Amino acid sequence: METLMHNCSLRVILRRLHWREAIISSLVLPLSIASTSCNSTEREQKQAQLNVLNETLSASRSTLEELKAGKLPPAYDLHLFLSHKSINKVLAAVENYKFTLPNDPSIMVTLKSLSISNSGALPTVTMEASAVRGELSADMYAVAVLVPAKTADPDAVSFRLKLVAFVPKLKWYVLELTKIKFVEVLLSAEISRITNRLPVIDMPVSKLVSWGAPASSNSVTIRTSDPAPGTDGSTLEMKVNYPSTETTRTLAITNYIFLSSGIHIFGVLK
Amino acid sequence: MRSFLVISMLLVGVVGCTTSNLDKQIEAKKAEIDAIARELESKKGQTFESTHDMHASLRVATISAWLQSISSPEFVVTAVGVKKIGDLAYKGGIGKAWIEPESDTKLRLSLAHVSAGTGGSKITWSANLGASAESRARFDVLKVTGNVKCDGKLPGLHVDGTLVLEPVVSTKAPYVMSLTNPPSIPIVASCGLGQLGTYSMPFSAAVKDITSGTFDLGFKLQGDIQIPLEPNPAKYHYTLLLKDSEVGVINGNIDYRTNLDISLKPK
Repeated sequence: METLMHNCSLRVILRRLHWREAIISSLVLPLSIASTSCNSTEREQKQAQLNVLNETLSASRSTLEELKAGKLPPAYDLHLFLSHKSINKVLAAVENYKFTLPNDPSIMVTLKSLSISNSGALPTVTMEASAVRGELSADMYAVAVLVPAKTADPDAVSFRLKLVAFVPKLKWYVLELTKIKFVEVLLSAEISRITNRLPVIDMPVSKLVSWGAPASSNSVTIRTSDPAPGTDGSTLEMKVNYPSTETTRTLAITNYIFLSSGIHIFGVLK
Repeated sequence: MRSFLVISMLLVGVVGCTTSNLDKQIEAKKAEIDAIARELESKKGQTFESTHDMHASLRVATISAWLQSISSPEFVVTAVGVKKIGDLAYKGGIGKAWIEPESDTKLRLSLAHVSAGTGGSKITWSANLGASAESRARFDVLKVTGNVKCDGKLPGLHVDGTLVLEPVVSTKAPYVMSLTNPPSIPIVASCGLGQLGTYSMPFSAAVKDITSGTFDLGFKLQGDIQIPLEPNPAKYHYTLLLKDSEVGVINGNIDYRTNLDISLKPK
């Protein structure tokens, strides 16, 4: 945010400059432009990356402590595991989808590819994205985490992509005011509003679990007497009735554990 | 003053772009996360080991509790006669006996206090078995006709068996609950047939398996991806295609592992 504040101050100051200072600036700036040009949002990208790493670190420490304390795996009736590789195959559905930036509908964001990361204990989804307005375009540093989402379907277990970083990767120079404005709009996008435009993914988990079998019957023929001299013996066909053992129970999810290989979902049956 | 501002601003710009401190912090955090990830991997234990794209593990203790619930107060299998062929007994010059009516032949098996556990790679179960059998035989002996009731009762018997898992179909693991000790139910119905002798009908073959069914393994083969993107909200539907599946009993769980192919379709 420091650079963003710097960008805003820059424009205010430029507007207030007297023409003489403008001349001085015009003499000084060409000499200084090389040194003042930089990846304008490099600092924001790195700060965002650091924030994500801090979250990942916190989640990883917490998981490790639980593991060391013998709390993992938790008590469970049913444990399901889904590999990151599989989740990535599902996330491929979202590739090349476009949405407009909530705070500026003239900016179109394209999600190019999404992949869930394998480090730490936070389900981090790194997204390659771009933002375009007219001739201006920027690749975006975008990171989301998978968080459980509520859905209307009582049998669904869903995850939402919650955006935690959305920063343009854009190079600009101090006098490129249009680009500065573009960067400013991208940086001021409310990530919670972008989150509402990101996918909700159903996990292939069934919350209604049935065991047993309905009542049934079958036919069995038993031999009631062995063939004796001069006879064929006897048989009796019987109808055997089995009672219903069918039971449906509801899976209550108690834990999600995220490890390098994938997502572990633990639940108890009620 | 303003010139000073411009020059200061440019200097601040240079300083503002300095990210070496952040780089160091990022590297330090990454190293720490890597170290924790390695420790997690080394300590995670068998539960978290993954050899396939998807695992489903169902506690046998939970299945035992379910078996107890379906056998409380008892789990009863019945059988009734439908059609007889031939005579039960025949002695030339004396007479014969046969089952009649067929529907008077009845068998009742009850299981109580069923509990399950694991033995190696098998699910074992044990229970108290009760059994009774009855039948009615008509006889024609030396021109004398009549009928006689045949019956038999097995006193409470401790039985053991295995719950055999079969290859998974879709999302369900079929099972068959069969007896191992004794290998069959030793129930007979006996009746006195006068000069034809005393006769015993064995019913052990009537019920080979106690029961069968399926266990849902807790996963689905389909799901949706809802994308509320503007201006065109979309919905995708994915289908899991199972391959290289295997099911067994590992560490007290019914353990199902499979690799996946995933197909995506717009919905």
